[in-house]
Amino acid sequence: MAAAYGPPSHPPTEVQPHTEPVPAFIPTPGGTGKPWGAVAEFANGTDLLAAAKKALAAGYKHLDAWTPFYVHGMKEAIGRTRSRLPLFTLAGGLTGLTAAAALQFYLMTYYYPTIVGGKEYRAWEAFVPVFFEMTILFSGFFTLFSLIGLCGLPKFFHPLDSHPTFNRGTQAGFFLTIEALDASFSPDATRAFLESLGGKHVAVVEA
Amino acid sequence: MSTANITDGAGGPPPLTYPAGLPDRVAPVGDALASGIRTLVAVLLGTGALLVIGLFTDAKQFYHSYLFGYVFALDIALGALFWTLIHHVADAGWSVGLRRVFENINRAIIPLTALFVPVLVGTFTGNLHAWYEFVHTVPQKGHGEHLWHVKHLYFNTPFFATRIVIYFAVWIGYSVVMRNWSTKQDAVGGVALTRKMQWWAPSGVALLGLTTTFFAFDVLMSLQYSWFSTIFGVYFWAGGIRGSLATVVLVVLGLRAAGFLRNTITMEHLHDVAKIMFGFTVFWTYIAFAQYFLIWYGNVPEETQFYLLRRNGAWNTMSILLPILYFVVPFFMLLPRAHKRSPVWLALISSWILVMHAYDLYWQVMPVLHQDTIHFHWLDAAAPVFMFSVVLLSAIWGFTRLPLIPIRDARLNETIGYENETP
Repeated sequence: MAAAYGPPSHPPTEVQPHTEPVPAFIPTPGGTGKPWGAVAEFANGTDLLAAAKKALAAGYKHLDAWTPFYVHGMKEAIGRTRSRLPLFTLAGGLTGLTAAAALQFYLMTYYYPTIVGGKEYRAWEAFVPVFFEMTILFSGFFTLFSLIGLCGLPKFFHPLDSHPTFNRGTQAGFFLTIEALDASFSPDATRAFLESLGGKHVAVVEA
Repeated sequence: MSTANITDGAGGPPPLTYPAGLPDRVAPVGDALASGIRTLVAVLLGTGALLVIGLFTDAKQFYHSYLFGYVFALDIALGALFWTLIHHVADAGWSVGLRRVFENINRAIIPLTALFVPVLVGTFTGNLHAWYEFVHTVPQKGHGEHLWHVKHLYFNTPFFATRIVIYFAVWIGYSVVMRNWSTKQDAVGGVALTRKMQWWAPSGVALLGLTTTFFAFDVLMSLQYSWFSTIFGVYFWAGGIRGSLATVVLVVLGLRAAGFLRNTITMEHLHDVAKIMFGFTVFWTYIAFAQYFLIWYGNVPEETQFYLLRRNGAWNTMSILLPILYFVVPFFMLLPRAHKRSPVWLALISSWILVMHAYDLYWQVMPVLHQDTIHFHWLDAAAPVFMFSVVLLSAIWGFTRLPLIPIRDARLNETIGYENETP
């Protein structure tokens, strides 16, 4: 048998059953009464990846996958395209550079022209460290805060926290969710669809 | 069960067994690149003949052009040696497939050792380094020039020759030893040789750093022997490391275009090489500006002389264009993710960086000869082309005789299945 070169495959595993059956509709404390979306648990990353691909092919768009570690190919499988984060970083960098240039040239050339070390007023060489630092600083801040914003943080409660097995998502659980925002979402049909993909502990969570 | 037994043509090394299931043919390329090699040999002979003609028509110009072309190629070969060593220091898994490319490029160090002789001749006939002339005109005990009196402990013929011997001994030693262990591992496999290379690599990085720094001081900085810049060695290194990455990308793209390694060294690997190239683009700028900035701020005569010389005539234009063409342009060319994953863009960027690397070195060497303004000589084109052909031929020579990747490296699986994070 030829040696397999490439990413390792996951060993077959099974979803551990929950102590009591998971209800079809899980209410959320103080919920709105409307569904947030449907959840299904899978045995491992490979199964979850296959299920996500099928759900995407079935026309669902508001998909999300919740795994304890990075699963290669999952981003494409749930239909995610590139993040907008680099654009924020670039915008931050350009803002910082422009701010540093404006500040220094205005101050050192017009507002309070000062001779430092025998150099001319517009000694751009002396400004470069500040250009550099401000570019980096603003890039960093824009990246951090836009990341927090794009992730919808801070968030103290999420409807999925009501799901009885979802807390395993940080250790050994692999979950696929389809949100109610999706045009093709309907509580019963979507739940049945997730069950047909081999999902366990399938439930609709109240928003 | 398909393990092919392929005997090496040279007869010396033991027969190699190729692991089954590799996604590509990794046996030596053999005659597949013969036409390319013939072209390169023709270029080498042609430019070599031009260099000989140059030597007899304009010796001083020849030695300066030769030095410029020489450091251009040596920089690249040393950069490749550095990448081999840093691969082992970092215990890297993703770059296992690229390691043979590094090893094959630093193969050029051996022919370049022989090609260093004309530089020595240039120095010892007083055609290149000003300090040599000075040693022989100023009386040893006089105080005609105080600076020289201080520096003559460093700048004198025996010490210079000793240092050169040490540099080349270190470079040849590490490149040959690392390559031999790597090719031995192709036959015997196992992790013992990987451990051995990893044990020796850190000392190699340290020694390579020191020797490259002092080589830059001795051969380039000492063209103006009265000039001081402690960061010059790093500047030289930063240029070489970029040039070698560009060469690695071009060699890999060439191999892929010829139909080799398409599934082994994928765009995922090239993407990462391009990321490092981007990083070193910024690093070079950081170093280049740090050197200029401190000299500009300090305004001390023995430091500013370097930049003052490069503010005459067309040199001034060249000095202003250097950061734009060698930093701003590659920076924005390398910034988009799509460019780092496109073979066409990568070929363009790498060629650009190589040409600008030559531009940078030309700007470092030539103002010493033509102080008033640029006098571009045909030797300035012939020398780097000749030297770069030496590097490419050395690399291809390796590919025609050795497996294209380290076939028995324990982490081959890691490099072949390697994927970048999708942002």
